[in-house]
Amino acid sequence: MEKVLKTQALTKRYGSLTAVNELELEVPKGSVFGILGPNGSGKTTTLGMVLGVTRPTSGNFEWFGGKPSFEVKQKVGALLETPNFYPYLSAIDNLKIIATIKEVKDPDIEGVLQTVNLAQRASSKFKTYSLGMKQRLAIAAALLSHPEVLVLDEPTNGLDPEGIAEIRSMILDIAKRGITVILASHLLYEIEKVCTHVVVLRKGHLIFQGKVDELTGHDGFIEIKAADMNKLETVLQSMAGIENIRKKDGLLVLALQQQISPEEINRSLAEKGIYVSHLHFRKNSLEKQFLNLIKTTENETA
Amino acid sequence: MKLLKIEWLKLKGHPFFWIGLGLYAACMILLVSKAGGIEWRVDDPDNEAGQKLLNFGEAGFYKLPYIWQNVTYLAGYFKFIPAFLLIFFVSNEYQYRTYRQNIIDGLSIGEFYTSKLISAFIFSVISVLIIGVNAGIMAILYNESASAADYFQNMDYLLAYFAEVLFLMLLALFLTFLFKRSTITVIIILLYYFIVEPLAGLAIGDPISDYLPTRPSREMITQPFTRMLRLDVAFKIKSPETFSYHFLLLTFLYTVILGFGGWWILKRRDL
Ligand SMILES: Nc1ncnc2c1ncn2[C@@H]1O[C@H](COP(=O)(O)OP(=O)(O)OP(=O)(O)O)[C@@H](O)[C@H]1O
Ligand SMILES: [Mg+2]
Repeated sequence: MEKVLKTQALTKRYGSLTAVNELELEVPKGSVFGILGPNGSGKTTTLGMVLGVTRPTSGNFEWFGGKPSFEVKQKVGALLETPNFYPYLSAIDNLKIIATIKEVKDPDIEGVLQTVNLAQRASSKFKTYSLGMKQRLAIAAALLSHPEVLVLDEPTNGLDPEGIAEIRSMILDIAKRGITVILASHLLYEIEKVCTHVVVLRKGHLIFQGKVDELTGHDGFIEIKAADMNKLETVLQSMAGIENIRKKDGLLVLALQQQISPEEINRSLAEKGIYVSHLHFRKNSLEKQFLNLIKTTENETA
Repeated sequence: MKLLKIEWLKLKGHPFFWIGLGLYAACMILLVSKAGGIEWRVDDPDNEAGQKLLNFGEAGFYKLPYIWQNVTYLAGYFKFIPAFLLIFFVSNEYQYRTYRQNIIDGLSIGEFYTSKLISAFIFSVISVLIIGVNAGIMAILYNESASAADYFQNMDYLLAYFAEVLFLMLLALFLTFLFKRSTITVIIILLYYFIVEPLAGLAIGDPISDYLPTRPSREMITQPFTRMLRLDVAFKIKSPETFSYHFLLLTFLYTVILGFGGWWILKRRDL
């Protein structure tokens, strides 16, 4: 599959602190790509580097298979951390500046403002906007050059539930138009709601990369143990309804899809002549799974 | 062209741009038109016992070709007004984080820097235009029988003045990029210009102190009053015929150095 963005061993150090550590990312074209991590995990730093405002300490990145250039910036609409505009100018004048910078011929300023529901306040000064309106204007600005990629860093930060829902449905609409969206967030359920792919960062390390349903799609985990662990694993691998199998503390941890129940697993194993000595079912909340993911790697790295 | 358009969009939307320039223009009009009224006590040769009041106008403040030197010298004290405006607008780009957004949106760091050089240039041109038009009008009013050639004589003081203002703009730009905030930049530039460098100049002594950064720009146009008030005749000193080309060259050199200095700062750090 075609890659929109690729990073190789991308690293940023601030003195002794490594904000991003040898990061390897691949963002597939057409995906809604989530970057998930707690505060200070290096999301903004990563995006800052690929957007050309933070100098990488080492490593590389490629947009559309090539070096960063003006053409790349035309194809990428981005919002980093906070919406940044000239507060004394109206939305229209702010967008005019951006259209000039991006060399957009006949910018459809009215159109993008309509897309984000700001048409009525188009000539009010930016400083009179509410936070939600500011975020929406930032999305409008990013859409101005008909980008192929939209980069959003915590676009729902500080918004009320209504504003959050509005931004989310906006992101989904944009993704439906075929625009690749890269979305950084520290909220798992946000990523789960809108993203197709996800990477999880912790202290600048990549600890998970895959499809969102691999992280969250299953209904729970089963920890399982039998006398013959190898045979157990082979049998389980051929069984439908199991997302993935991990080894942990001498147990196998199965991530389950919804349609398979612990009883079913037990019965099919018994049919194959395997009797489990330990079977424990955990139905995790998503938030807890995310925390678990972070915790397990913490133990591994410690 | 693109960069000029961007700067124009950014500047024209801010009330400070218009208010600041309007006030500056008003100040300069007042300064130039009222300077003739400044009074000065001189010995009166017709009156053994006393002195008489002579005002600048009577002393030839508006007379060609000296008017160009007189006006540009006086206006030199007010060049900080456009410099502060520039500091305000450039530091805003940091405060609003629009500098970073401009780069994300597609400007290179070099283009952003160039756009600010354009701003510095615009402010300098505006300043020269205001002063030049002002002086020109007063010259017409006070020199009835002057020929075109008379007007052009010594008009190159406007060029010297432009170099002086542009130098200060580049110094302001450099310091703004260094400190990123307007208040501290304004304080530093005033401290440096009026206290640090003059003291350093005293400490170093005369021939070398002429080569300190702001010295050439402020010594380039010499004060005109000695000649205007005939003190040069009285004290038997010679007034220079024109401004110092040596200092003009040095001013230009420092302007270029500051230009590269600002670029060097920007290139080296994260936004
Ligand atoms: N300019 C800087 N100087 C020093 N350290 C920095 C700088 N910028 C970021 N850091 C550090 O780098 C680490 C990663 O920061 P970053 O902003 O990328 O995190 P984040 O994942 O975006 O967090 P958040 O969810 O709070 O936005 C943090 O520990 C932060 O303190
Ligand atoms: Mg962040």
